[in-house]
Amino acid sequence: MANWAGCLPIDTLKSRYQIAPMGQYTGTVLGSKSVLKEIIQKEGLKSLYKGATPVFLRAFPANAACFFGMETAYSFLNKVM
Amino acid sequence: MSSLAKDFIAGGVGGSCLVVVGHPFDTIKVRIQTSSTGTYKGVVDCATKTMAEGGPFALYRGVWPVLAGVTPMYAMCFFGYGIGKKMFCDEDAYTAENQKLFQIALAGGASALFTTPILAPGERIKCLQQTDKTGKLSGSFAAAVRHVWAEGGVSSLTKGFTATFSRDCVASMFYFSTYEFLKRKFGDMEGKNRGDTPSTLSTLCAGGFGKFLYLIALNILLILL
Repeated sequence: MANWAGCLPIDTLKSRYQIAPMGQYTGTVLGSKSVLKEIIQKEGLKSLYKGATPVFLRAFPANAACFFGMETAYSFLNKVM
Repeated sequence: MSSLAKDFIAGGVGGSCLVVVGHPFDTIKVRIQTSSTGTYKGVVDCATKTMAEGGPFALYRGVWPVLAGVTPMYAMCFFGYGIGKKMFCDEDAYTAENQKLFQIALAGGASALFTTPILAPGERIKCLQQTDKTGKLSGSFAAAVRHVWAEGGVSSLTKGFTATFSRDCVASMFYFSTYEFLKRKFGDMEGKNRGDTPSTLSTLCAGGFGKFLYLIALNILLILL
């Protein structure tokens, strides 16, 4: 769940907002200088889906690894303690 | 050892595995998301350019704040999910005969209330490090924190809090309900008696496919809206 990765358009807004200098935007969605407004004006809505491919590529191996690690730790702990 | 302590440790181990496998993809994602259109041709192009620019470990930049946050994050996530279950789920919500997916989704959403306070500052530092062009932030975690703190204290560190919460609330709702649904389905396919613990294989598949399916469902939903 450190994944992160979740709802991609909100995630794109979040990434942009978080790397911008303080004061550049009023917020992600609200306000006259929001990230959403700038993306719509300058790049179009499609830009919100940038980064979709790595999100999909990551989904399976990362989460399978997560559950594998969890199961292994459980069986180890149950054996030892 | 209490079962809660085991949950805590196993959650941390699982989370670390997730980060080790998933982080290079995450770096590529953030760099593509924050680049101007046309900078990268695709995933492979972005990976190649990132490594050419910053060496073989460039894809693991920003991994420390994520790893440092994972153990408490997982503990809080399952703690929040547990509270959500008590708030939203009927006694029989998890039984195979009478699975109540919407209630499970609400319980999952509640987990974001507990994870966002830990995750949002980490996400802020991580995104800055992943996209840093000056080389000042990509070095140490502490240096990046000092830089963000000097810029605007708490408000700078928690920048993006609401966006992180919105993302994780929706994501957790889909994640937990899809996971529980698939775990039941795979259990049925293996011919397990209802109520049996599902096998490792079906847990793995439910974990992997669950995330995958919910991403597809979520994006179809958003495109339709």
